[in-house]
Order: sequence, then C-alpha cells, then structure tokens
Amino acid sequence: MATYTGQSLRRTEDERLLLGNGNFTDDIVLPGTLHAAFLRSDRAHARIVSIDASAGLAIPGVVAVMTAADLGDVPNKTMIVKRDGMQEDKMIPHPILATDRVRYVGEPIAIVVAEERYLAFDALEYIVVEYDPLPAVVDPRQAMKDEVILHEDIGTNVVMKVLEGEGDIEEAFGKADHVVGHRYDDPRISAFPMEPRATLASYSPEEKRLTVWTSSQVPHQIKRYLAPMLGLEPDQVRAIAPDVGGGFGRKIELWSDEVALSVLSMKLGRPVKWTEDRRENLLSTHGRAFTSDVEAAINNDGTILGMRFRMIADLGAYFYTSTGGPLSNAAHRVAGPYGIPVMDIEVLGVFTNGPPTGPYRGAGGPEAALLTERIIDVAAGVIGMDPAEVRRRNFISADAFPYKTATGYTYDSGDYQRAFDRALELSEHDGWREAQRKRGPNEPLLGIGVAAAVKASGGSARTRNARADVYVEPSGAVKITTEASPHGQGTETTFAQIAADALGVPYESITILHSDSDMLESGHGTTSSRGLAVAGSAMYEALIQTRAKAAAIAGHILGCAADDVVFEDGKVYSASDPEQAMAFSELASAAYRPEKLPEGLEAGLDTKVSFTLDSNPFGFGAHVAVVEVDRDTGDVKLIRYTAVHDCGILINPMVVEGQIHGGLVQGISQALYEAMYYSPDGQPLTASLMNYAVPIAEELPTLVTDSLETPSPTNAMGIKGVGELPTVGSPPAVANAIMDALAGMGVDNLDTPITPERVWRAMQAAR
Amino acid sequence: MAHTITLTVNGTGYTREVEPRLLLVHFLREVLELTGTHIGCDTSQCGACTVTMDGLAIKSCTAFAVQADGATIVTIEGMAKDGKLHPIQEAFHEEHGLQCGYCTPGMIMTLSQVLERNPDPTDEEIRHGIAGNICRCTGYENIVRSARDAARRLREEA
Repeated sequence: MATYTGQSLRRTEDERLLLGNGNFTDDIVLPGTLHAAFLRSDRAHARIVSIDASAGLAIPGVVAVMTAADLGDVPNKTMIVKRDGMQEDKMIPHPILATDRVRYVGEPIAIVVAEERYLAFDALEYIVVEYDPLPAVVDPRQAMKDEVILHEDIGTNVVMKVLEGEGDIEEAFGKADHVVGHRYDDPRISAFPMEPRATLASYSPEEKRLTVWTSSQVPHQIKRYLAPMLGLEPDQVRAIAPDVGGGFGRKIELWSDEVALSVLSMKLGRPVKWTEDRRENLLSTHGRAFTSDVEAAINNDGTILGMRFRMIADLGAYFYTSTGGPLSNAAHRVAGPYGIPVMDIEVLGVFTNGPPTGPYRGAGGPEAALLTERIIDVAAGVIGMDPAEVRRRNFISADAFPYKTATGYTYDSGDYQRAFDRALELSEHDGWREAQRKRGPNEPLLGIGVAAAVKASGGSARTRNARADVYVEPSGAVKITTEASPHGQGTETTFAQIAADALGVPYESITILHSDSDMLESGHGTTSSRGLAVAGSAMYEALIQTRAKAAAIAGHILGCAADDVVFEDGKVYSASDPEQAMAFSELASAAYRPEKLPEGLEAGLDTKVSFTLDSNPFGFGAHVAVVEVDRDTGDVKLIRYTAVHDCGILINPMVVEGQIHGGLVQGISQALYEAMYYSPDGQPLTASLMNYAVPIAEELPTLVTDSLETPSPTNAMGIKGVGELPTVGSPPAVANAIMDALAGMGVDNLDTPITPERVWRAMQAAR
Repeated sequence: MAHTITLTVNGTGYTREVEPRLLLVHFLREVLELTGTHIGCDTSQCGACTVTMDGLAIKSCTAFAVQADGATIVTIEGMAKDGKLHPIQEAFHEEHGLQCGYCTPGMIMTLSQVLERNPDPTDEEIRHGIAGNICRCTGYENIVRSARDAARRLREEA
C-alpha cells in the first residue's frame, strides 16, 4: 500500500527557497513599518543610574525610545515553564527591558523606533546610560560560592537541583576492580542559525488584533504567552512563523523583543520590525554550558557497575521559557545505551553574569553523552580493553526492551549491538586500528574514537500532545494543518508522503499547512524531536479517522462493508469486488451531500484531533571518528566520519540522511571548534565570526552514514525522531578519537573544543 | 548627501538615489525588494549575501550601493530563466542541498563563479570554493554533492 512512505521524494519546500522567493520575517514588508533597534548593556553586571534618550529622540525620523518605564501595565517579564528541579521562589524571569540593573552583556535596556533602519542605529549612539559597576561572575563554580549574588532577594545563585538515579553507588565503587574519574567542561556554544531572530509586530486598531511574525520554532506558544501579557484575549493575537532559517532549539523562547515590539505597535498603531544582527545573536543565548565531575566503576571484564555524576549547569542571568530544561534531561540521558545498574546523579543550576542558556540540539543529551562516552574510554584504557569492546559488553540487549534505565527512562526498542557493529564494519574500524599500529614516528598521530548514543523524541508529557486537522475538500484535494513548525526539516514533504499513503491519493493533492496560530487552536511547534513523532502521529491519527469515515461512506455507495473498502491510486474500491469503484474525488464530493450518506453520518470529511503519544520513542546512533594529529603543531584533522542511526521506520531516507549530516557536523564542530569565551569580568570575547568558529566545508571530511530500522512500538507508524539524535554522539566520538591519538603521550584530559592550541599545550606540558 | 546610481540588476536597469553609507545588500533587499539575498553575519564571513557584480562573486554586505554604480549585478532571483530552474538550482533540489534555505542563495551565487572557473572540480576544490559560505543545516555534505551534480549538468548543457 505504501507508495510514498520510504521514498526519497524531492522536497516541496525547495522551489521557493531556490528561487529566492522564500518568505523570512525580515523579507516581509508592511506599509508604514517602523524599524527597531535595541540598546543593550555593555556591562556584565551594573546598576543603571540613569538613561538619557533625549539626544536620540531629537534625531529627525526617530519616532520613539522605549525603556522599562514605558511598559505601563505590561508586566516586565517574559515567560517561564517550570521544569524538574526548579523552585517557585527562585524562578527569576528575563525582563523585557532592564530597569535598575543589568546582569549580562547584551541585556536589552531600551528600544529605538525610527522611520528607517539606519536611523534607529544612529539614535542608539546618542542614548546615554550611566552605570554603577558591580563585580561580575561568569564561572558557575565561582558563582556557587555566592560571593557575587545576581538576585539578592533570593540570596543565592544556586537555583536548581535535580537528583536522579538508582542503587547504592558507594557499594558499586567498593566492589569494582577500578574506579576512574574526570572533570569535563562543556562550554557555552551558540546554536548559530543562519537566520538570526527577527520579529515584526503589527497591531490593527480597527480589528483590535495583533499579528506577530517571528523567526520562531513555536508560534502557537508565542501567541499563548503574549496575549495575557498584553491584556488581550487569545483570539486577538495571531503569531506566524514564516520561513525560518534554522532554529536548533534556540528559537523556542518567548523573547523580550516579541513582547516589546508588540507593545510598541499597539502604542504607535504602526507595524514595528526588528532583525537581530549576528553580534546580538551570539550574545543572546547559548546552549550546553555544563561543568561536571564523573566517576565510573568498572571490572576487568569490561562490566560497568555504576556511575556517579555531579553536574553544574550555567543558567546565565535569568530564566527564559526553557532555560531549565536541559538539566533533568541530562540527568536521565547519562544512561546512554548501556545497562548500567547503579547511577547517582546530581545536577545543579547556577545563575551567572551571562545570557540565559537553554536547550540546543540534543537538549541535555549531548551534555550527558559527553560525560558517559568519554569516561568509558578512560575506563577502557585502565583495563586495557578496546573502547568498542567495552561498549559492546555493556549494551542493553535487543531482547531486553522495553528497558527501564537506572535514570528513570523507559526505552521502547532498539538493536544497539547490531547498529554499532554495522558502524564498526562500515568505518573499517579494525583496519584503522591496524593502520594505527603501523604508524611511523614521523607520521601524524592517528586516533580512532567511537561513541554510542540514545535520544528520546517527543519531549515531556506536556509536549507529547499535539493537534492536527485533516480537511478533504469536495474536490478531493486534502489540506492538513499540523502544529509542527518546520525550519528546514522538510515537513511539508514528509507529512504529505504519509497522508498520500493513508488516503491512497496522489502526493500532489496534499497540502501541508503550518506555523500560523490562526490555523490551529494550540500547538507546541517543532522542538524536542517531536515534529514527526508527535505532530506527525497526531496527523496520522486524524488521517485514520478520516479514512474510517470515508470508508463508511464509500461502503454505503459501493454496496460493500466499510472494512472491505480499499484506498489506492486516487481510487476507492471494494476489495472483494474491485469492479465496485469510484474516484476519491467522487467520494469526497459525496461526503458533503447528505443524501449520499449512510444514516446517522454527518456531512463533511474533516477531522480534528488532539492526540497524545503515551511514551517516547528512543533512537540510537553509533559513531566512529578517525583523526590525525600533527605531532608538532597539535592540528587535528578529522579524516573519516561514519555513523549508523536507527530512528525507526524512515518516511523519507533522503531527508533523514540530511538531518543526520547536519546533526553530526554540529556535534563535530562542538568537539573541535566552538566555544563562547568570556573574560573573568563578563566581557564576551567571541562576539562575531571573527573569533567564534563555525566550520566551513573545507574542514570536514565526507560523511559516511547508514540507517537501520527498528520500528518503535510507541506509535502507529513505528517512527522515532531524528533531528537531535546525531548531535548527541558526535562530540564524544571526536574527542575520544583525539585522546586515542594522544594515548601514550601522557596527556591526561582535554576539554572541548579541542583546538590545536589546547593539543599543542598539552603535548608540551606532557613532554 | 544622496548619490544617484545607475546599475543593472538581473537584466533590468535601475536609477536610484541612495545614501553613500547604504550597503549594497540593503539596497537590493529594501530598495529593489529583492529579498532572496540574505544577511547572516556582520563581518563578511557567512556568505549569505553573495551576489555577482560584473561577473565576480561578492559579499553584498561589504559593498556600498554607490560602489555598484554602473555595475551589472545578478542575484538569486536572476538565476532561473523562462520559468526553468538554473542547473545549480536543479542540482540543489535533486541532491537535497538545502534544508532551511537561508544560506542557499549565497551558496548558489558563489558556486556559479566556482563552476565557471572550474567546470569539473574535485570535492576538495568544491569545498575550497565555498569556504566563504557557511551553512548550519547540511554539514555541507549534500551541498558538495549538489555542486558536483551541478557541474555535470552545466558541462552537459555546454
């Protein structure tokens, strides 16, 4: 029956983007639009003594300057969703605009609105802010000492605590042949979507209605959060995410600009647009930002008996909507694909004088895997076993599912051993080991690193619910509204593939609508690898219900039982008597004519569902990295990268492979290049591409990938999410490869990003 | 302070008054409303704003509109002809060379120059050729495949 599912259909989305006809937020032109620019703090921590905007306001063409004092009845705070480990009395939200104090470089203080973009920038230069500087703290371990406190009324910077685990860790450590331990720093990095954020707010006084175009992954959420803040009813706010140039998790917040521009548009009665520049983007929010101690107990036969984690997450200066999310995720995710019986985990969340952090592709998964996967290699070294073999001996076996981890997750399905062995084979792992043994003293050092990773799709119970509408027009054309809010995932294509198969209609007759809050009552957008797993499952449920009603109507018309009706090739026929047939379009037309319907059936062929996925599917990835390290300069060259993923049934293998490529490289880049550096007093040192390294094509090898398909029992399609999965395993695979290359050099540990300088310094120190 | 400039963009002649400080990319996007050319950084590195000026790929965020006086410019909107995608655009579609699509116009404009200079590049030469363009979605893998496929299409067309 499946005509389209499993096919690498070329994407519907491509044409408009290829022609330059994409519709990104900054591309939208409304008559009378004003341009906004933010005045941001250049201090990491200071009291604001005064703000004098008069000279800026005097510039012809400058319409308004708004500070916190001008917010009126609008509460000066954004939105927080409470996560595990958060305490009500310590949930300090990010303000819309700073009032009397700034707590990180980049914090918004005022907004200028002008007739032209350049005039708004000009006016920023004329606004004078007088600061009274305060000592700043950017290192979370330092911040925990509470010598500098960001929010005095709560009396501490330590505002989150997550505990997780099972079993007696002291007992496990006591009986193990070896206990190994390390501290790993996992610095702040930028999601770096190629399109920075942008917001266009337009309030219509006539309609009493606000429309906000925003470069967001979660437009329905933006509407839901904005309306009460602005004193509006939900149906007075419409949020639209037009084409969005990447998100990677860092476009899921309610941002202060979304509120501030809405306020301005309501005040001024004109559309107001703001487009983030790259500096603002690099200083607005980061991912990762963990520093952790990990210990592992291992026996000489490779059995891992238990692990202890003491993790500290740098939250930044305030909570945005999702800032607290990665902490409990990381606590669950340290288990990885292994049957480790004893786990003991503590994750603390700490305020510092940096921008708020939050989920970045993997959302706690990469933070966790970096620890588990790196310490396994250290343990393997101690017992003298190949790291690949240690992993094989600890994998959860394929017959053990559903499997409950000692960190509180229940894995649905998988065959880790098989996928991992496939990766070893595909990468020629054993051949590289042989080549490594043969390396001469004048050749570059060769290193081989492996990693294995598991990633949940769908998010928490809250985000495992989704809405979907399927509307079959009387013409037979099918319009589907999903709450997924894609920004590169190819959802318009893959969802149409599923729908075309479910209704047995041509792919071209399906239209996928999304990312407009007027189209659906609510939604959680595309986050947490939930696009296909949750929003797609909701659509599938709506399709099945639509088909059931269509079958009842067809059976009535064709004179057969509903369960005898087949949908195929745009036709509907009786399986037992295929002569009894009609076109799908005829059936669609009949569905709207009461006289054609069986008794008791309402006219129409449209289905709205609110669907909940009861439990998460878990995907798996196995990684093999091969690196060369220059003995003199410390330069690291990634020469081969292989990954085998199992994300269940593939709807569109080409799109899946594309997701894997991108995810792998974001993780590779995390291992080799990326970090946001701050001076001890909180000044950013990496605020542009001049010093924040995002990889270019030349730095990367050809990626070798393959997929296995273990269907997930959690959903009707057997699918698992893939968006974040590849990013989880690739940082430790690369780090392990470098450490493998340096084995025997006396280098104890290198933190990511493992730059040539770090390698060179370590080699010098070890000499 | 306004300067009058006359230039050709995608085969159409324009004469406009511009401020001397107006960046070419803002001229294209906001004056001519050719919004296919994007902006992805402040430092001339990401390449999202790449167009060709008198046949050379340039970063339009690093040129003033006044510098384009008398020039012939091609943007992404000028690549397809008679409703048919340019071979590089076709190749990106066929090889899944784009995801979010934001870097794509700049990538295609850069590749138009790379492939003109080197009609049969190796993967290494392709990777070197797009060193001034950043993509965050694809890991470059399918962009390299697209470039290879585009080179083949262009050679067959020639």
